[in-house]
Amino acid sequence: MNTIPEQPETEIPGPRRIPDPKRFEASRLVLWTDAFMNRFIKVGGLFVVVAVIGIFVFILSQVLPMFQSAKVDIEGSAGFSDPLPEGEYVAIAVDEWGERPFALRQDGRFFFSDLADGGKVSEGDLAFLENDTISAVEAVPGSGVIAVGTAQGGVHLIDYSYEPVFAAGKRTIEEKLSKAYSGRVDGAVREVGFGQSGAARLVVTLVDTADGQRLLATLIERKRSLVGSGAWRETAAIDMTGALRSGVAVKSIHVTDRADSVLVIFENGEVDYHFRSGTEASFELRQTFRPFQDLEDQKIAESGFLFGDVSLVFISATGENRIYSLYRTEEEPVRIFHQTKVFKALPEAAEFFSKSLRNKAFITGYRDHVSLRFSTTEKVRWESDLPFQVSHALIGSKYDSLLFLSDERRFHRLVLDDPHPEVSFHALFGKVWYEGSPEPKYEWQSTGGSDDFEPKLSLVPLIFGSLKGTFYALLFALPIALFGAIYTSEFLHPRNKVYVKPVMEIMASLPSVVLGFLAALWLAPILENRVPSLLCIAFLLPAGSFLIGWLWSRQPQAIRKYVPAGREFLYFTPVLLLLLVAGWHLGPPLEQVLFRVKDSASGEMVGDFTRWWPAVTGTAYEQRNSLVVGFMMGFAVIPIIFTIAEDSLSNVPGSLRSGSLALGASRWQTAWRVVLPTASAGIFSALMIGLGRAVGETMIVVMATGNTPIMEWNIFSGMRTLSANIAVELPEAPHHGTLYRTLFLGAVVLFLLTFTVNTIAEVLRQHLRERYKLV
Amino acid sequence: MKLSLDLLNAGMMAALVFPAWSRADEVVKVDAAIPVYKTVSGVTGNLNSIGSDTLNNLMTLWAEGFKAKYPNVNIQIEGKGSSTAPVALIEGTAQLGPMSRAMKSEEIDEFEKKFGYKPIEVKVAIDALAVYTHKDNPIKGLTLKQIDSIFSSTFKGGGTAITKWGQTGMDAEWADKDISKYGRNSASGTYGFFKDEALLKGDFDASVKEQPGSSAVVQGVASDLGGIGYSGIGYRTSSVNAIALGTSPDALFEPTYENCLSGDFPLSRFLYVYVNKNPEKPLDGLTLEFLRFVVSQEGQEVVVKDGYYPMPAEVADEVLAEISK
Repeated sequence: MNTIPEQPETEIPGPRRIPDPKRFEASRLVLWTDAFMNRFIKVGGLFVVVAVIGIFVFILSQVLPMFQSAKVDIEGSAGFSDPLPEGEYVAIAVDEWGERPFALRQDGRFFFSDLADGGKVSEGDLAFLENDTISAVEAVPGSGVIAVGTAQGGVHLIDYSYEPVFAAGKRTIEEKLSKAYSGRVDGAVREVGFGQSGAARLVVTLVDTADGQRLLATLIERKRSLVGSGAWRETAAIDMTGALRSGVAVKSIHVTDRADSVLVIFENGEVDYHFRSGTEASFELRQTFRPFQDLEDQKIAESGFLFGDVSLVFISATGENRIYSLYRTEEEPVRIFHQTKVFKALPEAAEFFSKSLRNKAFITGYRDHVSLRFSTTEKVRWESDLPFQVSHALIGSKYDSLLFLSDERRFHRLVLDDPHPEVSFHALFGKVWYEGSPEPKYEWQSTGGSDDFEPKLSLVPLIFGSLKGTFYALLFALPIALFGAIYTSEFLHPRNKVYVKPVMEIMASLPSVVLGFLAALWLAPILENRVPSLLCIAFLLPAGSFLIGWLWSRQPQAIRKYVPAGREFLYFTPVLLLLLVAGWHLGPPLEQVLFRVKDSASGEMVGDFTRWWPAVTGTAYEQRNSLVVGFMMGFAVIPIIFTIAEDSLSNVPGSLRSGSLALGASRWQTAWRVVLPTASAGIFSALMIGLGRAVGETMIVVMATGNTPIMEWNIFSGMRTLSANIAVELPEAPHHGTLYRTLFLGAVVLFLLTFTVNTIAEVLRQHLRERYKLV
Repeated sequence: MKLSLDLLNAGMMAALVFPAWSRADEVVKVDAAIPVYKTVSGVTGNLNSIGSDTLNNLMTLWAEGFKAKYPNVNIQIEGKGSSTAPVALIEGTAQLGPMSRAMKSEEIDEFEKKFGYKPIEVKVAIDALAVYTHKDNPIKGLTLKQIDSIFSSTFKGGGTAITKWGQTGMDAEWADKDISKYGRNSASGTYGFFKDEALLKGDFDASVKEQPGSSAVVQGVASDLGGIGYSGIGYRTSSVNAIALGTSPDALFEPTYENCLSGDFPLSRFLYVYVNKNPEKPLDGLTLEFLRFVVSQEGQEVVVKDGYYPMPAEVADEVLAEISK
């Protein structure tokens, strides 16, 4: 019989299936990868933190040196000359490198000292006086001319110039002295004033003649052309004796660098301002004023022009220090002097004064006390006592040194380290009274074409511009993005929603430079003459929407059933497009009716919004204005706000929505009362991220506005934002200069601005989330 | 501003390529004494130019002419404004720094701090900063004092405000016509020059419409009967008049080449290219050849073609002597 034999329990041949003792261990590779990634991510994260902090530290390191105060090295004197020969020295001057100063002795001899070569003293090769002594002198720094009046009635102009000579890698300075003009008056010269422009020189002398004092002005002119200048010729002698007062002595005379104004300062503290207009050879008295009218002692101890000859510095006999600037007001049709600045008083009357040739700094003081002050910021940059008595002082031409002639007849050159005198907290964020302006104001104008330009570095107009741009961008973007998000998430049919969202997100990927380009070259010229059309559209679109909605709801069910819920756009879109076209074409007729203005050419009334707006509001109408920026920045901001807001709305649990609808709330009530509050934290984040994007947006603003740093909310003028300002001005800012650092400060301000906004936003968001937390 | 300016300028290239030298009697001839450029061998390499936007077209034309002679030379030109030239020279990002104004002392200081010597200023062309009026405006000329009274709010010239054409001495239908003023934006070197020379460093009146480019000024004046504006002579068109200027009413001078040279026309200026030249060493071959080309007969013909004025032979000789030192 065939039976199936019971199979013995045999082991299946092959390897024994014992459990791998390492089966609970992870493979080496996994462990290794894990450990590596763990550290790698930590290190990476750390690097990110370090990089962000590093950037901030770098920016701060660029900004902070701006606020350093002036440093003058009193001890390690950079130059110290041998004593000059005995005698009375009446004037000093120096080359622009500060290496070869000279002093003019009363007998008309020049003594140079070579500070780069141990301070050796040598005599200049020009002797222009014989048996005569200098009784009056005027050496305006930087003019290259010393005007001299003598006891015997000589009037001389001495030209001096320096030339660098390079040999074997070393620079040496060579001087040149020459007599430019000599004249005679009948009597000893008591005072002399001198000023020159490229084409005219004016010498004013106060002369003691046999029949009393006389004030004489000599005009020396030359013809200037591109290929060279003609010779100086004396063209007019003007007798200004009538300007003198009997019984009041003249203290000093100043002439401006355009040779058109003479300031006579009297011993009793009065100042006369005489002006010669254009080519006229006569002066008119424009103003008489007393700078220290309110003081008991009205005497003026020292006075002089600041660089640019617009502002006069006065120091009273009691040490009070004020600045008077030329400007014009509405009431006063000509430019006269007004007080603009008051400095901390000196302890005593000043004995010397000199101006800087690079900025609005000046140096003044008495005996061994010296004060370096800066006009724009109204600050004392440096003040100290020197170990010697000062008889003459100068600020080095490059604003890098101070030069003194001591009463021991030695030159002392002190190194001045003050790279950013224009900066103070007040100058950056406060109102400053700039030269020539009738009132203190916030102003940004960083560079000018000439040396004596006063930089205006107020960041306030830029901060204002950033806020203005953001405001108009959000004004346009917010309603569209938010209502768009609510509609898409709550009302639109899901089948259509699938397409809408990606399309909006593609919009976000448009480079802002493209948007800016479109705004500047395409949108701005179109909008320029179509503002009335925009107004029409802005009115027609919302009004039309309400009307359609209302009309639709009145239709019988038989019609309404063809458009299911979520597909309302099928009838809305064509009608809205129609309204858009209608609004666009209604604009010009509306303009003819509403915005009528008198045409200055023909004298007739014409409809023109671009002229109507300035005529009615008194503010400008520019082609590249905030409206254009608002539109284009809106395009950059809308997708961001839309996407985030839509996400947070869609994330609201469906159960809430269903519950609300089941209890009988309409779709609108559900969206507005249930979904929106629940998603409010997310929507708020969307807003803030949009805001952050708008504040920092650069290219659109650079291209679509005129970048005018103005401070007005006018929608039809432009703005200059902090970020646009950095983009525009960085290429022309020399490294480590004041402008360069100020631009970095703009970056810091921008950072603080977004930081503050984000912090507030985060706090509010947490608050909202707490409040509408889902259980 | 400058970025948007560049865009605008690009759009206006068409207007610049065909300068409006229609009047035969005004065609300027280049001084025959200026030497013709002689090609030398072995000139290759890269040349960068960063600076003035006024000079941008001229630089481009010069670069084209130069490249035709030396095919192995590569020239890049960037024109963002005169103020960018000193920075580029200091940082060494450009060998040529075209500027429509002279360098400021502060800029020279910065340069000298880095290199120990000053940059050299190479004069390359002459520009007359002309004052334009509408072609139907019969006015012949204005004094600088009147110009100051029209454009400024500070009246440094000593006059009082002029707002109607009647105040300049015109009568009949012009007496009551408003003056409509056009000017440049503050970033421009032309703005600065006009401010310094015509307004005597005063301030512009707020009613001066700031245009983004020189051609926009000319276009503005051309389309405005009561218009007045200022721009370089290279932007003159047949729809505007470049009026005569002077210091007194009986000595007014048109912005012609002769009047610029003699100095009679008060608003003439040089256009410059700044280069970094060590006073102890000769200029590098490529830069030297380019500058020699610019001040040659051919280079100066390009100047005329672009509407500006060429330099007289004596100035060209001086320039040549200085750069070949």
